[in-house]
Amino acid sequence: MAPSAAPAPSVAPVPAAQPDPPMTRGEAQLERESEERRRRRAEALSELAGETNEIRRPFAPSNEAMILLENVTKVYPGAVVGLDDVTLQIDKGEWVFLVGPSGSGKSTFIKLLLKEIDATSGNLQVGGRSLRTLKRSQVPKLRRNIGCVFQDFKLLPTRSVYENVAYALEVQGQRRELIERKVPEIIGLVGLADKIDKLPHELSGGQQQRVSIARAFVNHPPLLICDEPTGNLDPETSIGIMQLLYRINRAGTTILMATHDREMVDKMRRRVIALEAGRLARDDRRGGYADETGL
Amino acid sequence: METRWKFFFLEAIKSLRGNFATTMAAVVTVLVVMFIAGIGMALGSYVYNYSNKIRDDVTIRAYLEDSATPKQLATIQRTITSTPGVAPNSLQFISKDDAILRLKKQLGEDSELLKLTLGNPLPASFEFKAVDPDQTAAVAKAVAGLPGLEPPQSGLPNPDYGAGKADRVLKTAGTITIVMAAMGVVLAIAAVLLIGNTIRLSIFARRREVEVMKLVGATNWFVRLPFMIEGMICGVTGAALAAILLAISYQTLLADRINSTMSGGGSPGSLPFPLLVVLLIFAGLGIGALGSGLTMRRFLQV
Ligand SMILES: Nc1ncnc2c1ncn2[C@@H]1O[C@H](COP(=O)(O)OP(=O)(O)O)[C@@H](O)[C@H]1O
Ligand SMILES: [Mg+2]
Repeated sequence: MAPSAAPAPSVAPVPAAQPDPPMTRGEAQLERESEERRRRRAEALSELAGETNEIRRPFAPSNEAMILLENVTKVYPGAVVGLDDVTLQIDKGEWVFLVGPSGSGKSTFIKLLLKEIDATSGNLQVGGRSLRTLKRSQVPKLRRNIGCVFQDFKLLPTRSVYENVAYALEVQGQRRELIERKVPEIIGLVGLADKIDKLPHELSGGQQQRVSIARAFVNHPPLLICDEPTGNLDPETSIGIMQLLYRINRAGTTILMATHDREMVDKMRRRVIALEAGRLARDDRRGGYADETGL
Repeated sequence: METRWKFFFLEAIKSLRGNFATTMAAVVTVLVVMFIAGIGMALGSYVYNYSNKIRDDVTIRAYLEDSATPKQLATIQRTITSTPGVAPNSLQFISKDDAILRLKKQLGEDSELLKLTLGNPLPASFEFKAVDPDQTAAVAKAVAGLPGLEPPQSGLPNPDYGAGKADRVLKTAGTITIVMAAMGVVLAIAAVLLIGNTIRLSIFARRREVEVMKLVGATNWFVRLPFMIEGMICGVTGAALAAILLAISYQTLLADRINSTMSGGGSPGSLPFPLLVVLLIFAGLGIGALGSGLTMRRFLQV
């Protein structure tokens, strides 16, 4: 579900410059939303946009590729095309939006990077390592170097905030002292220090997503992949999440984010990679959610 | 490291409790397998020792018909004493009364078996030995077929001697062993499958957790270990319960009857009970590991 003005936001090429579009999510609640709150949200958003823009660093902060695709094609059983001959490079430290209508191949892209699935053909590298030749036994190591944030948070419902974050380190066999030091630190960083012993269902959606970001980032991975991280959140909460991710990016972590959040993409003006039916449709250095050149 | 093992065990026990019914089915099947295996092993080692013991007894016994005349008896006795190779002075006549007295001594006066028999079913016999134990079979042959001897039946030669008896015991035991082994194998397969089923359900119940584990880069063995432990707990629990049941059976039923019926000394020399328990526990571990291993190959591709 995408917070956007258009009823089918992923397909309709609505001009990007709508100042403050009404939202489809939580409409009843939003109707009651006061002008004051709208204003505050707009402010926060432009603040984030300003923040991201004021850093005038090159778009490829380093020329080393974090992610490299050469003619990558993924065909699912039954001849369903997930990704179709995609070639692109994402450099270390970049922030990249991955957009496109549902079924255009965004999740396929992400699953390929995590080696949850293998490419049918083409060459795929993450952090300089070819995933085609990567041994099964090396996959955990790959995943430890990629933080993952999903629309549905993927938290363990019976474990506290602390335990959920600690879990990532336990699974990797980290020492207890290290876990006890790192976990509260990262939970503080995402602003949930007072919720550390709560269970996921005692938290709001935005707070749960912060926990999942904490878990993804506790290892300080060089790459953070987000598959519609704000898809289940209202726009105000989304801004907070984006601010958090932005801080993480600024600290040097490459961020690849599949999203339907038109407003966010248009305001932040980062690199936008658009997929359509598995094909690379657009790759703009400072793009908007929709293709603005053809209009 | 210690906390991680605790983590694995707690995970395993939690999910075993989660699907209690299937766990019980698996445990009970392991119990039955192990019980049969335990009885089989105990009986097998007992029979083997018993057969060795009777093989060492080189006494030749020629069983007499109840209707044998004194003249026939005299002929038989003469034939025995005049056969070359028979140890002089080894010949002994055992009357029907002697035979029953001997049996009473072996079984004890109160033996259930003796109370069940009517009259005296035991035949009288001549007992003798060969000078050279290796000549036992040849010497026995010389007496065979004399009138007044009980006619031999298939599997029951007359005269009879230890080695022949031992071979027959082993042959019968071999057949029983094959039947029991076949049953054991079928049940062991059932146990492996049932443990596999338990593990399949836990994998399903914990699929969310497994998904997260893989996501954050858990190694294969880390994802699998709790399930492996779970299967092994099933196996060991079944085996331990079987061991307890076997111990009780030994105490009450078997020890009493087997020891007295088969002329004593079943336990000394045969498989010691602690060793049997250790074997069963390891077999239980194996069955559990196999059950979860096979299931994970199918349902837990990392
Ligand atoms: N496991 C799968 N098996 C078969 N087809 C799939 C599978 N996953 C995705 N697809 C197909 O691949 C295409 C791309 O899907 P996906 O990558 O999930 O798109 P998006 O995330 O952009 O919505 C769709 O047509 C979808 O139906
Ligand atoms: Mg998707």
